This record gives sequence, structure tokens and C-alpha cells, in this order.
Amino acid sequence: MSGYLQYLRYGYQTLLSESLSHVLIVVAAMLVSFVVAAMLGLLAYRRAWLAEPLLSITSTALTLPSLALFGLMIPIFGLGFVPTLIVLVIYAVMPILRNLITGLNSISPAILEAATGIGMTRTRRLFVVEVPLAWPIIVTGLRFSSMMVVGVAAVGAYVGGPGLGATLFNGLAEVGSRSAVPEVLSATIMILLIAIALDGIFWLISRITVSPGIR
Amino acid sequence: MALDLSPQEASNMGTELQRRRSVIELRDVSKHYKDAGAPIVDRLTLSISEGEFVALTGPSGCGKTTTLKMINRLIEPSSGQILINGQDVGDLPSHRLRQGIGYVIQNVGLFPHMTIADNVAAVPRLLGWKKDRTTARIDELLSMVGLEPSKYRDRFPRELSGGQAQRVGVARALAADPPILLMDEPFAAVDPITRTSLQDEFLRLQQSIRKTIVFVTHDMAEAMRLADRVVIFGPQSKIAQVGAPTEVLSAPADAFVASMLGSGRLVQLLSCVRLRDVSLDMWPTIAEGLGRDERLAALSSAQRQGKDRVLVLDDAKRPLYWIHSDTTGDSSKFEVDCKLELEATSLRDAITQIVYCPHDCAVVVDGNEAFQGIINLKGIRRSLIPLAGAGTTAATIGVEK
Amino acid sequence: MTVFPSSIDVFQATDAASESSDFEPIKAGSRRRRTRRIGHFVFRPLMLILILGLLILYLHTTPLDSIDHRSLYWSTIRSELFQQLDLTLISSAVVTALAVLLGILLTRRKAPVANSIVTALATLGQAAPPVGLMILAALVLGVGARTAIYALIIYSILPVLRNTVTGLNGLDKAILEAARGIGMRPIQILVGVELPLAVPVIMAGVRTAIILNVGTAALATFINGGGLGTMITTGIAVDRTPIIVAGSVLVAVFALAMDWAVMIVGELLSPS
Repeated sequence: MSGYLQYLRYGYQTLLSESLSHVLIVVAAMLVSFVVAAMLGLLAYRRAWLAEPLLSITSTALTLPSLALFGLMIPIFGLGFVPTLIVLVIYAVMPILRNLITGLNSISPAILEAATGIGMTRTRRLFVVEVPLAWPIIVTGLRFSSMMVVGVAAVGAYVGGPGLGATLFNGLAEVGSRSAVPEVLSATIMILLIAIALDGIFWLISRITVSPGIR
Repeated sequence: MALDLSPQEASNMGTELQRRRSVIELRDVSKHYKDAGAPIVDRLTLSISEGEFVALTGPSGCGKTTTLKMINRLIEPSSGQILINGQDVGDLPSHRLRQGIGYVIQNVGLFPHMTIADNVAAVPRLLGWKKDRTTARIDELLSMVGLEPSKYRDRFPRELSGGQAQRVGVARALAADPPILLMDEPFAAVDPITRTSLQDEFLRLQQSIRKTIVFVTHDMAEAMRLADRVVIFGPQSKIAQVGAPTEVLSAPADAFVASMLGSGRLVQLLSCVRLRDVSLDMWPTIAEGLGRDERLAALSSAQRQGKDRVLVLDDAKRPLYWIHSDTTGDSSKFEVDCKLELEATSLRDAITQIVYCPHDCAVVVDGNEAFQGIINLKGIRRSLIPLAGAGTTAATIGVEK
Repeated sequence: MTVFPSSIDVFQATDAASESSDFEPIKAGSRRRRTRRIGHFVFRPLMLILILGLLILYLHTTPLDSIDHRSLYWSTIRSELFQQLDLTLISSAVVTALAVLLGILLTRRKAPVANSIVTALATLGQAAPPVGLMILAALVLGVGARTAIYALIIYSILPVLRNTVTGLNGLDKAILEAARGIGMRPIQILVGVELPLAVPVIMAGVRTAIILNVGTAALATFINGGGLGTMITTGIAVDRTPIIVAGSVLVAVFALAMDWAVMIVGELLSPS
């Protein structure tokens, strides 16, 4: 315990700055992937035949181990921030896109017919009726995505990415030293806390933005 | 002559309506799907007049819903032409067309994420109405369909019963006051008791709003009860019969229609035929305030016709009371206990009234309370026989086949 | 610590997706789904073979030095492949067995509290970084494959347990009532009714375990746990692109192949 406090005394600054960069790259990845997923989702909405293959790709891609994707980025982008961000985006897009397509597909045909029948254009129907109705499922995708990406980002440190992973691998390199366990433990807990905080934020977002009529 | 009719009279006269301006016209309209062999709608021609309530009915898969959806272009016809107020429906962008046509569907299709008010306001918002105009309209419509605005405005669809949801569905369809209303099995998803009361309310509503309504239902009784004119779709997407409910009920065109109407046909006919559709019996009357001798003369002349009573009318021909000869050699009066209105009373209602009436005789008056004649069970039976006769035979043959 | 309601299930949306296609006309829908499945069964192995072919082509056309060769010997790759299989299969087997056992215990009579605790913990577990767990385990238990397997078990037990508990709780109550009604004893109900009915649930658990573990097993290399991930870490350490590429492709192909195998087995076992 005293070893832990001793570590925190000199290590807290690194921990905080790494936490910050961890949060930043995750948030950046989430923002980019939300845009990408929205664009792909819209494409799948307009071209119905695209939905099936996109869903297959999303569920397949989610089974790919993160280390493999990081490895594949190295020959193209080298080490550092960019390949890490790209891998995070690839991972984050999948659940968002999957839930976006699933959500839009799960709306009752009666409601769609009513919307068209009273004279909504396709675009209007999408934004006034379909997206709000699919929104809870979409936010669930965002939540899942963010939690997964926080974990994947920790591996990113191995290829030179920012974040708390650096402390993890640092601790691993110092196996046996007194600071190793406190380092790894506190970095792991920080990652856990970030994931839970993001989950909480998305939960809050869904509480606020999901219509009480469908909650 | 037709112009002199009050709206009420006009609505009840299918033949009169056909002479009026046609609002919806289907010309030779067909619909076939690539993979299906036979067309689902086969060269249908139909003209629907302003303010007319037309029910499309028939077994499932007969093309009635397809026909309805071709009017607002939810389904595009394969061939033929559909005109609304003389303009081809294809001329407008489809969403503009639909904004001008009220649409009510079976599963209500309320938007679950919007409040009742927002649901009703959907079309006014599409049309870009000002906010206060929309708000006022929401309250007006909710009251119109019998939902207290302050109580229901901010609720969500899931908090409503089936019947309430369907009322909101009707309110949403009426929001922008469209002249035409398309309804696809609107009352099918609610329980029978709610359905009957919704039908009654809707008929009352239609009396005041006078929309041109195309109504799809698989329920023949509902079609007969609500519509001015019924279009019965038969097998192979052919029209089996078109006509006012009384026409169809009294003379089904063929065995198919008769079998669709089923055994309750006569009872339905009683509900559809109104007193104005049958010939009433005349009865001796005298004016109010005449002397004893004149009263007695009238009574004795009545007795020669086999009638023991004379009806006393006031200046406006309103029935006041009966008189009959009594033991003192003068006449004594007794009150008119059974009085029926000419336009609104169906034969079914009339029978119920007369059965409870001590004299087997009801006085019939028009909207101004003026005396029109009398009706009794014998008279009802007499007027029903020609109506029911031909059809009964057809139905019997149909069943035996 | 708060764990927020409506926690997320890895396979939740996927299940919803298969439901949503029910809106299609029944005949066309089922036919399409079947052809899609068959397509999946055939297409996936073909794609993987193609990828492996491309990898071999790439390695043959790229000049390789002795360091490259050492990592790319077939015997090296084979032993790493077997290590990877060991890591995945042992951890998945243990996790499934534990989860089913614990699941049965937790779903005995009036344990909704246990259920919600498991759900909350599983959400928490999902938030835990697998690489952190792996390294932490190594620091406490020492490096090596055994530790890696422990870490894999710790990481995947909760989600699988949650799936099992949810599945067991979701069994038709009327059937259990009927079983009680005809006088079966609790143990008879469990063995004769609940477990047979829960087979799909248990299979789903196996599937979840394998998919989670396949992804995480690649990280075992960080703690000397072996496996195909070793090629990637070696490649990065010695800065040889061909080794990194070969390692990454092999890890990915392994994961996709396992996923495919799980799908096939699930399809063969499911009563249709």
C-alpha cells in the first residue's frame, strides 16, 4: 500500500496527462467514426442492397483482434498517433454502423407508411421519424463502441499511440520492480474509469435525447 | 332540383350524388406485380363525387387496399389514370399530393416518439403553418374527435387505448382540413364495442365535415353501415357490384355478393333503409280548433275507411294529438306517443319503436316536425318484400351452389 | 461506483438484425437468409484461402533476410498456431464450464439479485481493458501461457456468465410450471427440462467465449504467452515489415476462421 502511495506521488502527473491523451484520442476516434458510420448508414439507407453486406462486414470486422489491425497499419502508416487513430476509427465504426442499420430497419412498417401517407418526403421521414425512433439503438451502438475503443486504445501504445497503454507497457518492462504493480494497476483502473465515465455520458445523452414516448 | 337539397338529403341519395361533380376518378386503372400472374386490380373505373362516402370492400387480397393506395400514390398504377379534381395525380410530386389527402391506416401508425399534439401537427408542420394556428387547430381537432385537449395534448401514443389512438389517427388525417380522406381498415384493430362507438362517432363527424371519403374494409356490415355507396370487389379483381347499401342488400348482383353479405342481410337492410325510402300510409287529419260537428264528421268519415282515430295538426302541419269518438257522443283526445323522424329513422329503429307503441302505428314527421304519414308493422313488411324478395332468392341459390 | 442500466450485450444488435429481416415476405425472407448463410459458409473459407495465398505471394516476392526467415519458418508458425489454439480453446472451455455451472447456481429459485449483480459486473468487466488485465496478471502470477489463460478466463467469464443467466432466466416459465405440476423434483426438472432447453443458450455462451478469447489471445504475446501474436511483436521489435504483415494476417485469418468454425458448429447443432 505504501508502495502504491509512493508511486502516485511521483507518477500522478504522467497518469493524468496520459489519461487526458487517452480520452482525447478516444473522443477523436468516436467523432470521426460517428461521421463515417452516419455516411455509410445513409448510403445503406438509400441503397437497400448495401445493408446486408455492410452488416456482415461489421460483425466480421468486430472479431478481428486489435493487435492484427495495428500490425497491418505499421507498413502503411508507421508508428504513432495516426495508425492508432485509424485502427480506433475502424473499430468504433462497426458497432455504430451495425446499430444504425439495425435501428433503421426495425421501425414498424405501419409507421413508415403513415409518414409517407401523410406526405413526408423520404429525407424528412428519415430525420423526423426514422432517426428519432432508431436513436435509442444508435446510442447503444455509440456506448458499446466507446467502451470497446477505450480498451483498444490501450493496445495502441504498443505501436506508439498516445494514452494510458504506455504506462501499462512500462510496468510490464519493469517486471519485478516495486513500481510495476502500482503503475499497471492504476493505469488499468484509470482506463476502467474512463470507459465507465463515457458509458455514463452516453447513458445521460440517451436519457436526454430519447423521446419519453419510446423510452 | 339537386341544388335545393340540404346536405343531409344529398348525402343519403347515392343517385343524386353521381350527378354531382366527381372529385376522384379512376379510369381503367390496373396494377400487376411482375412475379404475380393475375393483376391485383384489373381495369377499374370508378368515379367518386364530392362529399361521398365510398366503401371498398371484399375478401382479402381482392385489390381494395391496392386501389386505395393508388389514389395517394403509395402504390403506382401499372396502367390507367387517376384524377383528383380533374388533375392527374401523377402531375404533382407524390409528397405534395399526399399532404392534401387525409390518410388513416389500420395500425394507426402514430409516431410513438411524438406527443399527441405533435402527431396531429405533423401535416400542418409539413405545410409550414404558423405555430399559433397549428396549436389552435390541434385543440380544435382533439375536441372534435372527443379527446379533451388539455388532458391528451402532451401524452404519448403508448399511453392511449386502441380507440383513443384511432381517434388521434383521424385527427391527424384531418389536421390540414383536406377535402379527401382515405381510410384503410381504420376500425379493424379495436374491439367490437369500441368499433361500434367509433363508427357512430365517425358518422356524426362526417355529417358536419362532409369529406369525400374512400374507406377500405373487409367487414361488409361496416361498409353497409357507414357508406353512401359500396364497391364490392369479387374474385379475379373484378368489381362484383357497385351501389348504395340498400341496393346491394336488396338486390345482390350475384351469388358471390349474396354469400359475402351472409345471412344477416335482411337485418342489415332494415338498418340501411330509412323511412324516407318507403311509402308511408296516409291517415285522416283535421286542423286544430274546429268545432264539435266538424270533428265528429271527420271521425265518421274516418270510420268509413276503417279507422277509429283522426290526427289533429296545427297550422304548420305539426301533429298535436289524436281524437276518437267516445261514449258521450263527443270526441276525446289522447297524446301522440310514437313519433318518428323521416330522414334519420331506419326501419330497424321504426320496428323497435312500433313494437312498444300501444296502437301499432307511428306518426312520421319531417325535419320541421310536419306530418308526413304514418307507418305500422304491416306497412314495413309491405315495403320490405319488394326490396328483399329478389335478393332472397339469389342468396338461397348462392348458398345451395 | 455506478453501472448504468440497459447494459450492452456484444451480440444484442446482431440478434435484432436477424429479427428485423422478418419484415420481409416470409417466403422470400427465409430463402434469402438461407442463401446468405450458405454464401457465408462457402465464401468465408474461400476468402481466407485467398488472403493466405496473397500473403504467400507477398512473402515470395519480397526480399527476406535471415531474421525474416527465422520467424517465418513453417515450424515456428506451426508451434505458434498451436499455442494460439491452446490459449483460445482451453480458456473458452474453462469459461463455458464455469459459466454454465455458476449460471445454474445463480438461476436457482429467487436469485434475481444475483442476476442483476452479474449484469452489473459484466458491464464493468466489459469496460476493463484486456491488455491491462493481461499485464496485471503477469505481474502477479508471472509471465507465461498459463497466466495468459488465467487472464483470458477472467476477462471473458462475466459476459458469458451474463448470457447464460439471461438465457436460463428466459426459459418459458409455463414449461417449468408444468414440470413442477406433474410432480418432477427440482433436480429432475434441471436435468430433464431446463438443461435440454438451455442448450442453445449454452452454445451461445461457447460462441461468445471463443470470439472474446480469440481476440484477446493475440495479446498473450506481451506476457510471453506465445501464440501467433508473437510474430507481430517480434516483427515490431526487430523492425521487419514482412514479419509484422505475416503475423497480422495470420492472427486475423485465425480469428476469422475460428468465428467461421463456431458459426458452422452452431448451425449444425441448431435444430432447424
